[in-house]
Amino acid sequence: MKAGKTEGGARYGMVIDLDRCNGCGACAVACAVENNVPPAPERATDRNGLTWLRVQRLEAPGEARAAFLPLMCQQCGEKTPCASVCPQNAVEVDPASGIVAQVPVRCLGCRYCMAACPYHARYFNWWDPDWPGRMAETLNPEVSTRTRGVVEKCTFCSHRLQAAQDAQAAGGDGTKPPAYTPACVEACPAGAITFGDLDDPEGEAARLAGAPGSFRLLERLGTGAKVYFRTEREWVRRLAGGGAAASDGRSHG
Amino acid sequence: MDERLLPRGLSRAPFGRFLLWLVPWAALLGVGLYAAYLCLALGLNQTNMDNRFAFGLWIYLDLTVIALGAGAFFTGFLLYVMKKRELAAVINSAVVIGFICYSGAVAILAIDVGQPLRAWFTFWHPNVHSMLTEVTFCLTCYLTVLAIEYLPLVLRNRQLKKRPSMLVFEFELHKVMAVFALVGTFLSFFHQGSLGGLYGVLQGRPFAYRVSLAAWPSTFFLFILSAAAVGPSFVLATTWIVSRVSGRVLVKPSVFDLLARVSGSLLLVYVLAKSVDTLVWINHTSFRLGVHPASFYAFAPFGTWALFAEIVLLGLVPALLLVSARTRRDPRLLVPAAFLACAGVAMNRFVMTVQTLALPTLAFDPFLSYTPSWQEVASFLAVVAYGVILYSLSFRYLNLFPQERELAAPKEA
Amino acid sequence: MTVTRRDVLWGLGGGLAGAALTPVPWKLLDDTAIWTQRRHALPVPARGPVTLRPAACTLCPAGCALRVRCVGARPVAVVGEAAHPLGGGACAIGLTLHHLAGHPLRLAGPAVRGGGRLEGVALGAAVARVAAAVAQARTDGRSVMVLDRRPGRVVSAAWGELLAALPRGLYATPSGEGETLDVLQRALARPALLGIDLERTRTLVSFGAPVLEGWGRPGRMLAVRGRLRVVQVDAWRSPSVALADEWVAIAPGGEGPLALALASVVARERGVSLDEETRRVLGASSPRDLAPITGVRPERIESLAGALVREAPAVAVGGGDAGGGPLPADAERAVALLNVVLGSVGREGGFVARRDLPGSCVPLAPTRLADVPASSVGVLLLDGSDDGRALPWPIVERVLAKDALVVSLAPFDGAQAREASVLVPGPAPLAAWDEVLPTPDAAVASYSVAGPILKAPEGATDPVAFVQSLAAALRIEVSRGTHEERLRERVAAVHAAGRGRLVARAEGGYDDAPASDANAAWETLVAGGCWIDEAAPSADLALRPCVPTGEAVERWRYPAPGAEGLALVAFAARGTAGTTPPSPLLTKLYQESDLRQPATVAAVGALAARRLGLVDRQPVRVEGPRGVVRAELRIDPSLPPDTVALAAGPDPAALHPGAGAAAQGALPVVEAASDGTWRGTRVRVREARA
Repeated sequence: MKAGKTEGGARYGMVIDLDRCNGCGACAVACAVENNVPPAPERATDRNGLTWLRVQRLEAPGEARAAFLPLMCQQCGEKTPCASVCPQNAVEVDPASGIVAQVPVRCLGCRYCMAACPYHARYFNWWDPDWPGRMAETLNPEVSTRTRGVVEKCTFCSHRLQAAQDAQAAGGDGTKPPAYTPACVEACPAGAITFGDLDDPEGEAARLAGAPGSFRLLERLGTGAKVYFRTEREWVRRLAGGGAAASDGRSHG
Repeated sequence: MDERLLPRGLSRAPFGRFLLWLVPWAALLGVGLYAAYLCLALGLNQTNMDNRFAFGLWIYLDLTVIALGAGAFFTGFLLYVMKKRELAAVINSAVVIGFICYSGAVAILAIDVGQPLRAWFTFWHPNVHSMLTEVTFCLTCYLTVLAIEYLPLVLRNRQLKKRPSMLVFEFELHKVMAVFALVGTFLSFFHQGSLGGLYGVLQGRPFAYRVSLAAWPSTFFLFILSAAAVGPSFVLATTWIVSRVSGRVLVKPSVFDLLARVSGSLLLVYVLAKSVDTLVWINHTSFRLGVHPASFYAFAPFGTWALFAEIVLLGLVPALLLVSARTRRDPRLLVPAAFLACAGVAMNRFVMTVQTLALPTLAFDPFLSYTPSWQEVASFLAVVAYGVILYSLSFRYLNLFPQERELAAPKEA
Repeated sequence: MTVTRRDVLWGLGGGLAGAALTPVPWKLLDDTAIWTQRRHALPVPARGPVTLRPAACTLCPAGCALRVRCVGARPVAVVGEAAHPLGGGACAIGLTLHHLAGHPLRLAGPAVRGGGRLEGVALGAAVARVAAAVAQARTDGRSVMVLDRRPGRVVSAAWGELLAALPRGLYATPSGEGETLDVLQRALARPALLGIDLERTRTLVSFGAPVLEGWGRPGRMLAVRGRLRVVQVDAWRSPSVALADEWVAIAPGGEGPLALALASVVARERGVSLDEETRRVLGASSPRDLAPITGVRPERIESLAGALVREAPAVAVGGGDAGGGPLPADAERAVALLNVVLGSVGREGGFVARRDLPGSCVPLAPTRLADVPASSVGVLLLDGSDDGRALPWPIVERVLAKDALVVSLAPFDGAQAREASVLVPGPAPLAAWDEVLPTPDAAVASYSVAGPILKAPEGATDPVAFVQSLAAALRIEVSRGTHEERLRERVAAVHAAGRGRLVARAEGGYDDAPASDANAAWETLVAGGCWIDEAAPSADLALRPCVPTGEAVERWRYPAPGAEGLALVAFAARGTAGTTPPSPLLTKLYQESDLRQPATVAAVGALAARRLGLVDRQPVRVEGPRGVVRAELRIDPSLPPDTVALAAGPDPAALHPGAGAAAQGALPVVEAASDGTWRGTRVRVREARA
């Protein structure tokens, strides 16, 4: 829908070092805490849960070591598959930041966007949300809670971007797009995720994304994803970078 | 007991027997309505759909019944525009079936979405790039058209005809019916196509993605073609079923012959187009997306037999049978051929809906399968039951088959 | 004028058309959208001023430093302090710490359990009941035991004071991560505290210890990982195996014999001079002798030993796993012996001496739970602290006399608290005072303090206050001073020692902040700072012989024929199997993704499944000597034959407390041996009929 480079704005992206990720899951839990994602009811399984960020385990035969890949919305830039298919414009690509935002109050729950997303990064509220005990008191006021029957996904913690923009407008340096940190990046104990403006030539994220060896998932689909991955292990690169047809590894999702 | 409502000159079963016939369908409807209530009250966790199978049995069956219900628009097109007068014998039945198919599909969609009360958002915040917006608009319009086409049938019921105002209204309506038929045809073409377009635009799903001709992916045109081709076969098949169940001859053989001829020729064109499209897809499109087409058929049970079955067994074979005059003369070959053609469309819609979602996209995704829950099956069976009940009432009280009286005349004492 | 039907119809039609021009229908339509958001009442979290408060995680001994984001008075998120000098970050479980104060299993106040139900009582009544039981125990000649999972705190000192004044007061701790160090410490000719100089270690060989996932201070492990080669010895593909450099797959129970076999090769290759006893034991423990029971080929043992010798300094650790429990004593001795022959005790990169915390107050030396005589305890007081490790009730029950009174001070009703008849809950995490002591592997001592962020509810009883009430009821003199005052005293003692450095939490990191006086030190610590000791001067770490017993070596050389059923390999991530229930949000890791094996899944190898006639995803019953649990079978080709891997936590019944289901996972089925281990449990796996 929008071309690669955004006008006068930023293009926030991530670079994830798959050799540093140890599969601890702190990012996944931090994301759920930050974004008021409800816990699963007893009947839920890994096929109908709400995991905006889900850590996948990658295995190859003959390798004792596993690799872990945190998977969230890849924030596609070119021909965003989900934005073009939503019948009521409940998916908005923000030109100033490149973030693909979801509007849960407008979502009809038709799930067409879920069929369109090749990264399986979108999740549906199959149940009414329930926070047991007094857990509802620990909810984050910056993020609205969602009803059942709507789709939700990672938003690169756009509410934190909002806060950073507000702070900048209130009297900060307005020349560059503001820097901010999503919850997963903040939580990773291994420092495996680097986040920043991919259009900022001095930024670490842009440098790593452009460095040789960085790749994206399903690159051939041309979605213009803004999440890059790095690894020195060839088998991980082949498994992660290739599509389903290109794998020769045992899948374990 | 209800003789006053029965059309003149037609014999119908005694009222008591008719009620008995309705009872099991009413029970099925009741169970299905309960299942639908569960889904609306407790949420879609009552189904076995999940984040991978975002579309399941309901969407698949919706697409199938809409494709089969295309018999309504296409028969109307053939009758009013192409002036094939013989089809006047089945147009009423086709309209009723079309109405049933579309109203049922819309009812299922109302439970399938997570927030049915927000259905009007598509009209208020439409996304002009989305195929589903087009489908929503067209389906709603076409359902209205079908209702308008159904209305004259109802108004011509013996009792209602007695009121002059109704007669006048029906007469006026009848004058503009051709316009409605044309509008209906246009709308139907579009949404049949858009339903195909739904899958063809999914660049994230190499199994479904197709090259575009003008603004639309090839599946747009293929779906139109297949719906138009199978529509007449479905009309034929349903007429045959009704004729067997009611024990009456309803149409002259020439009607079946015409329907089969049209269906067969269009099916041949469709099989040709589909084959070309498949070749392009296998040799060009999927590679461009970085996927080897062999991977699409690497997971049981979706082997290459599925492709073969869809195009050859359930496509080319019924097409050849329907086109051949010799086959058409033998009802023992004609009717199964029509059913095969319908099965072919069902297979195609299944493959596009379910296989698309079952196939993994990322290399570390597993191949997953899905079995519908009883709530999903029951809800759909409720639609079937509703259809049977509505059709039975229409068949009993309305003049669905104009040729029936003529064909039944010698039997009257 | 007559009104005809047509007029009515026209009027209605016109009215409808006109209404479309008013806001009414559009407002109604709009309302449907609002109804869809309110239909099931959604919580709307209140806004407020945002503050960041320092805290420490209390779910396991690592005590990772945290920053809690509070909106008004409500904590809404927890972040690990990445720049902490001892190793930063927080694990997935610690990130849900702020959910625990509102957990459904949180106890509101003191209660007694009768007839399966909990009945609230006043604190005085509860204390009186305990005091009466203590008096009774005195009469019956039984002991009064306190089980403390995190010894060394001021609360521990308070217990010690109380117990020292009782005729048969026992202060016990369960076996923990530092068991290997404990064994080595006991073997030292001259007493000293040991730590591991991981920053300079080259090879770490772990015998079943989850070193790469929930061990020691995870932040420290992450920091040293790049320079370290990790060899993981495990019977199953644990998370540490998935991250290690080399996996030595053993049969269940093979840890001890493998360590011994490696020790024999290492001693030979390094030409270590040995005493008589050790030489005899190692002589009988060649790789060929012990290969069958370990499940590892002799050649592999030889080459592994060679690698350990070449890639020195090499350190071997045991200590068991949070769900599988401790290794048997003989296995730990074998691991200790391996360290001795590797020469890693008393060298850089190996086991080094470290100083104790200044002002350490240990009025009563802790007894190991396994050493407490059976049926000797009349009153058992379960301190409320959590080490995040499983402790199956039979291990504890063994020491209880008939009609013993069990008192639980845990803030939650779960795990052990379910067995207690008197509950005096302490404050929940983030509502309590706590201290962070050095982990067993620490090479230098360290200390920090965490103050309460939440106001503790009325019903919660601070453990020090409870000790004082109980002492008063028993007419025993213990030191006055609230929990906070005692902590201040301790900080003053640390400050008075005049060594080490104090760091304060600052924007973007930690800065050195030498304190002028004890008060300043206290302020720095309470604000999230940390005191870090200096390295100890090298000490003489001569060792007495430390070898497995003769019977053990015999058993390892001549293993008994295979028993019936499958060997149960229990495991759990640290922090999920202890006394603290899991936050409901942990379903993200254990249920809504398959990142971690949940306690509802029993994994077996392909051959075992085939032999049992079971298929993947089939519901099964796991039948142990003490109970039965249900699970879903998964086929894991990496598992050795005749083994079933079942998690001990988090308990799915605790993840979904409202459902009122029975406990699941490995703990209800394990068989506790008298030595405090449960690794030898054998179970049957059968198809479950619905």
